[in-house]
Amino acid sequence: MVSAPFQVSTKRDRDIDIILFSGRMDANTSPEGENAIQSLVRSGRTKMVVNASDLSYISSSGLRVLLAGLKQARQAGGDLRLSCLQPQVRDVITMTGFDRIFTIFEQENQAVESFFS
Amino acid sequence: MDIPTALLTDYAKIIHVLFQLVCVLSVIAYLLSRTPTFRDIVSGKLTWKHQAFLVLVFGALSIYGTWGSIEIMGAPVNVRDLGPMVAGLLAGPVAGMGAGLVGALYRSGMGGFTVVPCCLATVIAGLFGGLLWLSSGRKFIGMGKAVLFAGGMELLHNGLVLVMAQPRSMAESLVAQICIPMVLANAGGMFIFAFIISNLAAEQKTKGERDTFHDELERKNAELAVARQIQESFLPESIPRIGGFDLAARSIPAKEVGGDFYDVIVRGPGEPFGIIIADVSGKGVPAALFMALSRTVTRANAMWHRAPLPCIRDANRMISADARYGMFVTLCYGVVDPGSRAVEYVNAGHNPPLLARADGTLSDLGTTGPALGVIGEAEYTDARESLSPGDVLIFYTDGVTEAVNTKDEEFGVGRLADVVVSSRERTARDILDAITESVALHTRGMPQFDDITLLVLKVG
Repeated sequence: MVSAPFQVSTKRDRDIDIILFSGRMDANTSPEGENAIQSLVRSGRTKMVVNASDLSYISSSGLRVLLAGLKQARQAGGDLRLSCLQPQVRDVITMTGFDRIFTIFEQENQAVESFFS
Repeated sequence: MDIPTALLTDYAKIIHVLFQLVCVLSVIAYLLSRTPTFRDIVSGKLTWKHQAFLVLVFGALSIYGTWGSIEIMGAPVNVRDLGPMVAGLLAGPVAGMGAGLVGALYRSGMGGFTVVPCCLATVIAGLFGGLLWLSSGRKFIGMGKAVLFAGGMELLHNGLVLVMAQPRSMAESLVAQICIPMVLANAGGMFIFAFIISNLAAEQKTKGERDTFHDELERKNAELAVARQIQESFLPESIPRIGGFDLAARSIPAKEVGGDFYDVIVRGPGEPFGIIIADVSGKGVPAALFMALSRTVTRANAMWHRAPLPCIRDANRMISADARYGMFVTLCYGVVDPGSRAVEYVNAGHNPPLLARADGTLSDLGTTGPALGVIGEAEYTDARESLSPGDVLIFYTDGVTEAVNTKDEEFGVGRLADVVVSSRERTARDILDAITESVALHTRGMPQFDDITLLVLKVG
């Protein structure tokens, strides 16, 4: 496989948690992404921004992880917003109609600022 | 140097007898190591019963190590300390001192001028062994250290004789004679015990790891089998024949099934019929169960509503109400009317089916709403395409287009379209075969990551 391995990292801007996904998010790698989102949700941190600038591929398993995070975040009064989508990821999100439920931004900082406006 | 012959003979006798003892001890050690209790102790399970077992067994060993000894100037040269040392090293001070006391009690009955230091040394041997066990974190200290400890302990034993036994001159000449043989014999005995214990511990560690791995694998395989069975039992057993149309469908599950399904809903001859293709998010048992739910709900609604739009709207409400953990399903439902030769469809976030016209032009059935289970009150629209004889409709899941080759290139919609256009004049079954063969060729040398599901409808 020539594709980059899936990686997750998190950082924080004020009280917004930014989750950076990179590589391929498929059935095998999604649990790692799910753990990152779930551990934030469990500790009550539900204002999240996903930066997908290095995410080259997302499968339905990856979308499920994002959707689960979004549903839990909104239930707790927070949100999970997406930013920096590559073409394949954007296409899948548009095709499945996820663009109707997720708030999507071009840049990470726009997504972060949107929580303060 | 002039060594008296009598002393040389004594030395040979001492070493001979002590090594005989050690041999017996090592046989006992081996037999012991095969008992379940001993295995439990080595793997760190320590109950009061286990400690009592150790006290009894190693107390008995201590007695044997005394009983089988030979007498030099009224003092038995022996490996009495070995049992308590091993008990201590294996299970701590209680077991060590317990075994030591058993040995000491026996020794005290024998009397002699070294009775006090000898009894004391045996108890101390068990105590120190136990302290070493504690200091290494309630574990066996390892072979090298155990042998050093045994040698050191026998030096201490002889030191105690020197300090405590009276008359002093007798003690001195006794120690000069038995000190080295006792150090060697006990260190040798300890080496054999420690070797067996270390081996056993290593063996159990590998066995434990192997068992865990094996259990995990078995559970995983059982789960895979269950998921596959659920998925299989919710796929149609056969594809119905429909007058004026040629229909073929197939689902090739991945090792870890992904919850793809297809369905054909027939009302009666000449009546509109429905075709469905769907892909559930995720993998394994959760996906298979969600597939079963989605298929049942969609089918029930398809039987109830004639048109696809109200069917999908209601199905979405029901599935959304049950969709936990972010589960969703992309689905395309088309209703084909043989009378008007048209397909009316709702595409809920699914890969747009391809429509290859008889003349080779290509279009697709784009999405008309989000995947089911995402938004309970989602708005859907429907769309319509007219059909003519020779037109081919390809419903497929992303397992087809996202199948990657060894260079990580996806099969893609482009390749799929090429195969469909070039094989469009054949039967539905042949077109389906052409697609799956082409995908298989593309992915040669790679495992199948996702379910590959296809439904081909050719207008007759």
